[in-house]
Amino acid sequence: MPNTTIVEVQNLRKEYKKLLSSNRIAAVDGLDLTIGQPGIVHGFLGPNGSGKTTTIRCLLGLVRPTTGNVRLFGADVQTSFHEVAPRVGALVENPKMFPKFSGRKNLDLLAQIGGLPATSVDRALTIVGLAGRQDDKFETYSLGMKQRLAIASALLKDPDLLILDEPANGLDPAGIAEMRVLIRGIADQGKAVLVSSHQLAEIEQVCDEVTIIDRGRLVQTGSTGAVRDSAGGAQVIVTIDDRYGAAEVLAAAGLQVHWGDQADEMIVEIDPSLTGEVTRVLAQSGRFVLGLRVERITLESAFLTLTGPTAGELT
Amino acid sequence: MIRLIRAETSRLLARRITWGFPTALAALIAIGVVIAYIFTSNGDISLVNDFDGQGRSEIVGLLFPIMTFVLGASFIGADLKSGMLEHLLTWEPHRSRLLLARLIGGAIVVAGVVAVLYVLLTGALSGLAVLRDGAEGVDQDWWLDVLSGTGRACLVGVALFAMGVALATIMNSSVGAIVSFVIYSVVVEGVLVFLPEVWRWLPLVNAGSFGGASDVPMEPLEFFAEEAHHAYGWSGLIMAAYAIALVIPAMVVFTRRDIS
Repeated sequence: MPNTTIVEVQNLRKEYKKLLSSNRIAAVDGLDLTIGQPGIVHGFLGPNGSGKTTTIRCLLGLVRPTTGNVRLFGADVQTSFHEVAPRVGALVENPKMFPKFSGRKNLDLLAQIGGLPATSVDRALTIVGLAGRQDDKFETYSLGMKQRLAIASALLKDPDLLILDEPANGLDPAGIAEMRVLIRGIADQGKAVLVSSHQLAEIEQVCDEVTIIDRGRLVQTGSTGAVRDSAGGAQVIVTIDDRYGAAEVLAAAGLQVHWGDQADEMIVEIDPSLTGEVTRVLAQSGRFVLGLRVERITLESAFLTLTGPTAGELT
Repeated sequence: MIRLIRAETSRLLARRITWGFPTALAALIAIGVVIAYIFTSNGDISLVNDFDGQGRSEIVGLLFPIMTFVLGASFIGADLKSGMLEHLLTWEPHRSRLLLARLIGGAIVVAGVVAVLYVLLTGALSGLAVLRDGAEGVDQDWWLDVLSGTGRACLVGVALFAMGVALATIMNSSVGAIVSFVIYSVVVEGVLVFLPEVWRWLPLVNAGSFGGASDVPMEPLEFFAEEAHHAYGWSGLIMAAYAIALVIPAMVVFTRRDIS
């Protein structure tokens, strides 16, 4: 593989015109994204509607950027995507195939367009575990099977860059675990994988790097560990009866607070060595903590810290 | 490009409507022939002659175009509905190539389907005529007529298929294209019967003229009249011009449109 940057997105902006209005909305706004090395799984994370799929469509030349540059393997996607298309496998949003065709026939059709041998179809079907159902019509597949077939179609070309948009959608826990192994295995073969998801916990284990976007804008990018650290590295979880009142008190003391998973939990952004400050501030307001623990921050928590509203904004 | 055309051809052949619509049309033709057979049992074969003249012209000039237009428009609609278009474009990023392959592959299939239907139609009518009146008229000229008729029917079918593909591409909707076509056929061409200067140049008028080998008359609907406005050969060119005039903007729209 030549020594060029695999994915290079610079200052990408994509605007759409609102229906029946002269206003334009920016789905992606000044985004930078880089995958420099092969053998990397790069997580592309953000809430629904944050601009992930629009960015991926720009990467594949399906959508024209309003401004900015998009390059794959050094080739400008707008003018030269055809030069690198054989090296790029992609699954965009939901699995899309011809419903009346069998899984096999759908792949045969793509292999025919790409000039690939029938063995490439066999190989892809085996990798995703659909060899036994290859002759069934696509419309009869479960969502998980459709997803796997779509991944198989992306793998047909044996691509150097695999772009997967929400590949865990519709997969059961076993399927998600298999997909993680599959993605890791592909990267370990020296391929680059860009995987978008809003289910961070599902892909955290396989990502070497992550880019987090929100409302079309870059929030954080870097190695998975560095992004976790940027959100504090660890978090303090406080259990308390009146979490609304407690959140106001902590916010007034200058601390960032988010709601936890439980109704009486909140997450306080503070260096874990300073947890005493939390109990002191709460005690001064007449509130006493029921529990307090320090947890290593997950990518999901980092994501929420970096993109989500604080408890102050919620109340 | 050849691979792409083959893929598009096999895709169109695998669609149920590609077989269903012509089968329904063949059934209609069969019913017409049976009716003609019943009504000619007294030896008067004028009905067969009418069916062979005006009837054939209407089938080739109206039913075949409707069928091939719907095949073309729904072919695009199938991609839009399944969302497969964006997938295909990650394999063949040259959008103009994809559309061209679709037109060529579709033209091959449509020409084949129309040729089979036309031969069936001619065979049924001729068989009926022979049954009632003997095989006296079946000579070399008759065979040449059948051959040229088949060719013209195929060209009409291909032109309307291209128009269906083009209009559905421009509108980004097969339903929109088909509804527009029906409204146009029934309302616009119907109303413009009252404007002979305009009527003579309309697409379906010229499709009927070319397909039925009847010159476009001076007065609307008076096909086979002695005085003609323009020969059916010109009608073929006019029809082709309409098809090209729709395909070019479709190509421009398709290559520039965001696929999402």
